[in-house]
Amino acid sequence: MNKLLTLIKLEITNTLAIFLQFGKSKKRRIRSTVGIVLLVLGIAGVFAFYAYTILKYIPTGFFPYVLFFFLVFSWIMSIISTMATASGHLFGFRDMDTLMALPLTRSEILAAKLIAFVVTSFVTDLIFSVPLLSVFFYFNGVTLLQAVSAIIVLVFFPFIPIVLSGLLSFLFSLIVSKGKYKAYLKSIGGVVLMIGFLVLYYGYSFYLQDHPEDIPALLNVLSVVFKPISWASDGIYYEEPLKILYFVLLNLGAFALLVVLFQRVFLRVNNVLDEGFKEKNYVYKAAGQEGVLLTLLKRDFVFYFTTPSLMMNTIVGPLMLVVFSFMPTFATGGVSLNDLTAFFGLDSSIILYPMILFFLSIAPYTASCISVEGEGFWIVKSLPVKPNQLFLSKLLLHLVVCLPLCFISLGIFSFTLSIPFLKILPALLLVVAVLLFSGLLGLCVNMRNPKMVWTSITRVVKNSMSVTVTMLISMFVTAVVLIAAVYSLYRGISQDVVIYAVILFFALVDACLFYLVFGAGDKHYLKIPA
Amino acid sequence: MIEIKGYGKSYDKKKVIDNMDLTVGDGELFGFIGHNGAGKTTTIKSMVGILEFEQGDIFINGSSIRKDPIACKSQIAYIPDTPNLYDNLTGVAYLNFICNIFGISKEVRKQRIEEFATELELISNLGDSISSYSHGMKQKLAIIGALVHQPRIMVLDEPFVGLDPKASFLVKGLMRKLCDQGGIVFFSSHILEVVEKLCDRIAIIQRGAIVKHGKTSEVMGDQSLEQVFLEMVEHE
Repeated sequence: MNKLLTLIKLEITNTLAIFLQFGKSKKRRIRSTVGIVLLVLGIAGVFAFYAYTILKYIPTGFFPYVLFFFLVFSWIMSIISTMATASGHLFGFRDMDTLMALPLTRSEILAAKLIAFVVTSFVTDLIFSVPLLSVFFYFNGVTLLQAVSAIIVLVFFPFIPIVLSGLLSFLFSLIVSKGKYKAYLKSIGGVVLMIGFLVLYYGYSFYLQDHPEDIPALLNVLSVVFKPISWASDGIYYEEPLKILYFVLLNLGAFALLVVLFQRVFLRVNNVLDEGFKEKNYVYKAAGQEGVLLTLLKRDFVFYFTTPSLMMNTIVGPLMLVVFSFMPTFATGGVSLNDLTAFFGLDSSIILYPMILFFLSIAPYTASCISVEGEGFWIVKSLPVKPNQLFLSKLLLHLVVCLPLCFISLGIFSFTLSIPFLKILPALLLVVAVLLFSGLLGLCVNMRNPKMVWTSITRVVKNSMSVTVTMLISMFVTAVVLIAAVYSLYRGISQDVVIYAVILFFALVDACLFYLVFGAGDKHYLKIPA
Repeated sequence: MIEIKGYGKSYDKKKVIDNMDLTVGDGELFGFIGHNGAGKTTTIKSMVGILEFEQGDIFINGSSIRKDPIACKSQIAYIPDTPNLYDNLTGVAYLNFICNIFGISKEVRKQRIEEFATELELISNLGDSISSYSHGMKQKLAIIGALVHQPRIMVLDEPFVGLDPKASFLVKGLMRKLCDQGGIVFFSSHILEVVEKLCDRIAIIQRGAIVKHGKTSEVMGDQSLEQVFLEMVEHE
């Protein structure tokens, strides 16, 4: 038991150390802790506001459905969040050889990994679910039994999402584990699945906005599909402890099943998934000479597209933009976006700008990140490569990954919102300016808070201090710009002037960041350990 | 020529190397020995430009590693004690990456990669992903990557760890060949027998300072290198 506790402590410390900057100065620790608290409060605030706007206008008779919907939504968020990290938490972690060589049983190692995963997922889930439930109880009122039931539900909330994402991630990895391009298949397949899910989810949501008569039928289907959530929701709302017990038992049962199953196949799975590709009857052929920048870019490109955790955690923003570009197609009846913008005396293209700003700020970090070099950083640092060449390759990769998706999205928007091409041009400029902003900001922050030694890439791209700080700054700047833009429009300033002012603002910030990275970045680069 | 002049390095305000002076001439095979934590890897990393330092300077054929790192790195090949390479790439992709950085033409790289990979028996594995390589294979790949651009200076940190006897023998031969052609090989090792037999000159580092250096025969006198080294450690 002591060994298990030590392992769990190690796993959790490994995760927290990145956030809370263990081993760094007190000032830095306080700064990072404040940053994280602000980020969490910001996200929680968005969800609370979302819940508030729904509950304020909906009749109280619909409250049980709203509670069910909130729990389903939180559950789906939990599944999405764990899907992106399951593979990094459960398979292919780099300290496996070290742990397996120690006098520890497989069950202890596996249990420690799973419990650490549950704890981190639990904390993430609280950020979504607590604001939703708090606002719900604010409107509905709450009894002691309801409060206790809600707490029990929250404690067991991440178990089934972890089981589902763990199994799906394992099956998916196993299916593509053979062959030369397995890593590409894993990354791209994961992204395709994510797009499919988002299109279905948002497409159906928009369909329901136009066809509210189908909502009861949908709720019936959902209550069957999400039976455990239906138990939890009924258990809390109607104060039925038995249904809460069903929920708890099902979660525990599913989790126990995962533990038993993984315990049997754990080692084999990790060996199979970690197996590198071997070419049969290989014959050496020389490749042509390429420039330094292209060489670095190609290397980063391969790394990005063969690292599913990296790709799936960072491509969300541009992907959401593509998914939302179909939105007007689904909204066929009622008030169209064109009618809405015309009502305020604005051009329909105005809708593009907040979307670009919002979606490109929620996942600002592709590969503009020195930390992904990890323990292989000695290679590029000992080669005759100028730091600026490396920074430029990181920045170019960020653009190469995000720009095509953003351009595709704007192309679709031009059809779905019937925007003339010339009106799309400023949006193209904004996309470039915002992507440069996020890429350069990412590089700046990462050079100040690099994390070169990691056991899983997930710790760098999802759980790292520099990603958190970059997102926080990016979201804050975006929010300030949006508020200023809305206020200017409200004061009667022309739409075109506001749009170009926003683009100019980002261009100026980009110029400052560019100077910081390419003018003074090499001093920080030298300090990064290799 | 490698010239280390007044070199000093601190970690968190704690001085680990202070005012080190050392010169390694062309054609020399130089051994750098010392116990764990003496400052070997720190010195080597500073020499190849991957670790910044605050005191003194290191010159590679007259160029300062602090002021003109690219000119220095263009002449150096470095192999660390643990060859963490790019697991996502294949062996051949890694070598092409190195060749591109050094601007090596298609014809020249073909000839050199084939020659070294055949000698080190890695040619048939070049198409495999590096993640499938053993420690020794990674070490061999790092050595090929170091040799493929024909450096004037090779800096190696524990180069024989993980190599099989044949590869070890070959690498020693390649090191000697580079020195015979006027190049420099600077390497650290704990295998004192190898240092004793291979090196023209050696330096012993202790607590961040060079306590003895010179021609191997002069440092050893009539003792073995192991005896000299152990005596020094005991007198510490």
